[in-house]
Amino acid sequence: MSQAAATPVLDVRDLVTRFETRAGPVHAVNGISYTLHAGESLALVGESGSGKTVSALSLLGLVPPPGRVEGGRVLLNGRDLLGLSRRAWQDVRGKEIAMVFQDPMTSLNPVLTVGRQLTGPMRRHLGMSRRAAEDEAAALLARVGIPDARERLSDHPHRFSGGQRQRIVIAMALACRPAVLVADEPTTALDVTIQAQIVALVRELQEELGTAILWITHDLALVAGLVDRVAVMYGGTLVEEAPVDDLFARPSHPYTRGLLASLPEGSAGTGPLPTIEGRPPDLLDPPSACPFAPRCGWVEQRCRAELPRLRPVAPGHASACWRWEELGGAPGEVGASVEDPGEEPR
Amino acid sequence: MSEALAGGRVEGVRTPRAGTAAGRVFWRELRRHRLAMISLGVVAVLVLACAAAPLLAPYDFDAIDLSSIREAPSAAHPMGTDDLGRDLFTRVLYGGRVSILIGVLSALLGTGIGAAVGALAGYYGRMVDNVLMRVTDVAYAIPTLPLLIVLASYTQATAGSMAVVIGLLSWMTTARVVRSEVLSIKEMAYVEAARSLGARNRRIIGRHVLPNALGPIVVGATLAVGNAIILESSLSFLGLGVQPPTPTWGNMLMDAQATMATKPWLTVFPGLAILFMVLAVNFIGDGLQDALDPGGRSSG
Repeated sequence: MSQAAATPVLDVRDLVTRFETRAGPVHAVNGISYTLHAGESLALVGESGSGKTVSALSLLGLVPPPGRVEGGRVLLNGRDLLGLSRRAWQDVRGKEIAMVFQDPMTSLNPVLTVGRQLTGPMRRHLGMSRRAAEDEAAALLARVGIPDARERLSDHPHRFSGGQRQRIVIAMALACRPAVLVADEPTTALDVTIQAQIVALVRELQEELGTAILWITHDLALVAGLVDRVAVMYGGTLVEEAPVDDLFARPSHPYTRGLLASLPEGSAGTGPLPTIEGRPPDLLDPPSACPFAPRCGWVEQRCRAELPRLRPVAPGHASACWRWEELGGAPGEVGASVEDPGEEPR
Repeated sequence: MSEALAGGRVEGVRTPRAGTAAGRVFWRELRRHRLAMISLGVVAVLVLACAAAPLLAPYDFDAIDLSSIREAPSAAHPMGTDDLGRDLFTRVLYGGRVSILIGVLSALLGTGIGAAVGALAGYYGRMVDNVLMRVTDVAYAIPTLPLLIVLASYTQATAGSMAVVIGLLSWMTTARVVRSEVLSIKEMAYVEAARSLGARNRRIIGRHVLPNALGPIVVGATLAVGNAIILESSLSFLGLGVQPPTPTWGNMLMDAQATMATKPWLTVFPGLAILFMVLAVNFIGDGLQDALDPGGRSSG
């Protein structure tokens, strides 16, 4: 955690992204703010439809139509990306901020050799010659753990396994040494053993290159040993942000507590895993009060009337819950009755 | 990270493996298509024979011999002679050069335009798509034959101008096929990945989208060759094509009109040439289609 006085490499403020649909505007991202310092990693955690992927795409100006970033600022090294022209965006993507997508099986073009795809961004952004880019690509490929890297540059993607392809995709994303890497669930499509390898690889590379990483996932368990800080997203807003250990030790939002309780490791016995009852809010008609209120076991009158803002609850730890002080130290069920308050999740 | 490692293996052996697995599947599938293989042979023989016409032909294509008019096939004239005593075999060979050239050039032109229009419309969507597809609809609605008849009355047709005109009138199907293909390709993750790494639209279309649509483009181009040869023949048959004495398969048929019943060889040989060429080209197109997409695309 390097939250020194230095300015963050990525500073997202009040980001709002909407999709204009026939049924009306869908409020996918509703004013989220966070910062990321050089070499730091932040996990954006949330369930499907919480807006985590859309908020990531907003950072790269890649929100698909009819979606649009409607407000806020995305400061990358002090420059607001949202005001950039299409051309200028293209120069930023892949060079200063890059993204790794979920499915490595489809993230590579089947008809181009891996070498062509790896050298593309370097030649494009760094103006490298073909030969220099190929040398660099071979080195990158070797670095991410592909044997016989130089020979394999001339192979097409179908000759690589899923794990290898994700390594290649990561190499592509890091080829130009971007300041920020957005990793959108890069391990979801992989076997568990391969997942661990990919996670380890990204961590190593992060330390070597000093890249800041925004890790998008729905898997809190994965996040534990991986990132410095966690931001929990719900219904297009951030409901809690904390250093990772702090979040696990003192979750200060009922939703976070619910997520932690539904981890397989966090529940005792052999019974069914705890779940959070109910459904996420309808983003076509976002509630003006706390979005989690309909599902929350701690809900009170105020929660249904007023929208809680993210407020500091401890150093570096913020929660958007009116009743965070009453939640208690350890995670438990979403509801008011905590059966085993002494249990630690990890 | 790479500076230290770059020195490690600089000169590796470039194994010529690139694309061979996919290539092998392609050839295996194509070879299984017996008609396509035979057709490939037929087309090769026809094209080579026509290309080598100056070497193979026993006479000049415009050598008039009034002492031997409309002779039946014989040893001296394997396909007989026409109404000016010109050797028909010679003229079929030379005519093939023009007909095939028009077929290939117009197919290339038409496919090029079609692929470009389809790719732009499919990739950019919205207004671009709307405008380009409406233009395509309009082009489709133009009655080809009347337009060509009007054109021919103002200009003198040459092989080149015929190729251009036919090409300009035959890109619409390709455009539609490519557009629909691009609509699905542009949603692929690798396109988004390329975009997330700063690739410009031009590069995405050229390197990622079009190469993945190559299958239908190649098939379409092949079939277009056959169609263009037919269209050239129809036009020449109506006297609107390449003008005599330059022979094409089409204008040879026109010359033979009057004597079709009494001197059938004048019709049969150029007719057979057209039939074999177009049939073979179409079978190759079918074969390519099957070979390029063997039972739905495999992800590997």
